[in-house]
Amino acid sequence: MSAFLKMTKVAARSGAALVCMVAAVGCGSSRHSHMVDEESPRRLLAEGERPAPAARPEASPEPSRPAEKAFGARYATPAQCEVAARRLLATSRDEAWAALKSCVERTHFTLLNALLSDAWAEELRVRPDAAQVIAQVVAQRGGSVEGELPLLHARKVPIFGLSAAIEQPDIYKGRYLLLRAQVADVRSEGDKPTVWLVEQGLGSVASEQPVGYSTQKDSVSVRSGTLGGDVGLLGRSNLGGQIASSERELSSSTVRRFDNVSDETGREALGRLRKADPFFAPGKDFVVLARFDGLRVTSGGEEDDEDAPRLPVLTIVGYYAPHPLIVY
Amino acid sequence: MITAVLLALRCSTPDVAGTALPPEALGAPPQVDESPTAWACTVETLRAGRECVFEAEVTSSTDTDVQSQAAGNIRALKDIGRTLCAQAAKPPSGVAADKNLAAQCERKFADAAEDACGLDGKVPVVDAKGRFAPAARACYRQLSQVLQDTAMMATVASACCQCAEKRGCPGTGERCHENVSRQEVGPAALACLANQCGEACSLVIPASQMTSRDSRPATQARRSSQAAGSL
Repeated sequence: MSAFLKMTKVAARSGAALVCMVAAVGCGSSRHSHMVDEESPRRLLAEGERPAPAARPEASPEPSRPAEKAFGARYATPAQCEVAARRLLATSRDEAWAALKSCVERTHFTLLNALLSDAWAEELRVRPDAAQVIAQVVAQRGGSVEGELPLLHARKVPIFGLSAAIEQPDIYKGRYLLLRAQVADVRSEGDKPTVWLVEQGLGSVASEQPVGYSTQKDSVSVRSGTLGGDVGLLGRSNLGGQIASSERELSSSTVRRFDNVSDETGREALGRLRKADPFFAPGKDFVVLARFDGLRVTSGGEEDDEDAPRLPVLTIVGYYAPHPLIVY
Repeated sequence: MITAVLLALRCSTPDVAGTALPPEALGAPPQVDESPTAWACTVETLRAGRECVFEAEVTSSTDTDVQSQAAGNIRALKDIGRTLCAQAAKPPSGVAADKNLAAQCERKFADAAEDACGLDGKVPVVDAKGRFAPAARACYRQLSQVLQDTAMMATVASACCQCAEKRGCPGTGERCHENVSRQEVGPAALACLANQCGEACSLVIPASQMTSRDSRPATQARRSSQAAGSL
């Protein structure tokens, strides 16, 4: 019996090592491009439906740095960290949530589908900082808010976009919004500042990048000559002529390159801050999590009161600098 | 025993209604902050001509004091009109306000207040912190227009009109600022301005007018020069 147990343990360790290796290889194979592949949502959702490998004690990854104080710092990859945090759900939900937050904060955590899986669904619903954790992960995935919101909505996570709130303010009043925005201006009343936010959309621009070496060959040939002689009645005459030819040969190789660019969407909003924050500065993009407080009529525009331009007002809950590489 | 088990089951049941959730939780009911922001339209934004949003902490008046509320709204704005007009009528180069222009501004400001700022006595036009009520947008815009026109006239016409008055040019008085800023000065007045107040009126008199002493009105002169330019 004890020999059987020993064999089982050995098998479990081998399985865990295999999971670690696969995870490490998977994470270590990120390419030098502006796009980082992630497993398809369908596949991850399917995994979320059966979190057996993660839930099984024998599949739990061993910490590579067990002495580290912060949970997230103990694991080599975000995937290992999330699996280990998920394992804690069985014993303590508080500890599991704290561990997951540590994973998000201490590793480059981009596993949004794992975060949105069934295992964490209840924590996302009840934890006061769940929306901030989601916003942080969206920022770490590059801050493509337009692209990420459908993933949240597929899991019925009630975080919405600014455009939807502007379209139907009564429906979205008081709800969480997520937007990518820049600070344009700030005014303060007492110690409570309000920033003017300009929403940014994320796109890409293509360009041709030269690679390797290029060659250029120029050749010019000129032929000229004159002819003189007596041509009878006309007397002595001269004829001259010139033939010139040039040739240019250019050879180079280019690859098509795509750069992420953010541009204004045309939507703007006012965002209340709890206190002045010098890091929330103009000129940089941020992923902003906020509550929608409704629309306010502005003083601008020539329209009548009914058609007057309106500006959304938000209460900013948190903001995060987006990572330059985007995860699709 | 059964009661204890039921109680234990009840305690272990997850919260469904969401009432016990922290207000920040995603499962909690929506939360709205209706309080005004630092971008509220105030007397200060009116003075500076800055963009703002209409939000204030005002409550609707009762039916009994509607008339007094309307009168109070108008009176409150007339009171601040003097200060705002004195600032708007100050030429950029001068230290003192153009008195004629300030008086004209005050009159128009009061008219605008009478016209659009009573709000039928339904709500106070400004709240305790001087923020304009959302219903006061039309009022705010009219008052703002008066101040902007005054500031513009102070910049382009004040020095010219003060000079014209001193030199006794025709067409001076209350209409001078408007006429000069709109370049609708009559031929005689234009000739006088060009002769007597060339430097003070250089902003409003075309250079060709200053040199040729053309007696045509400025608008006509400009039109013909534009036509020549297009050819």
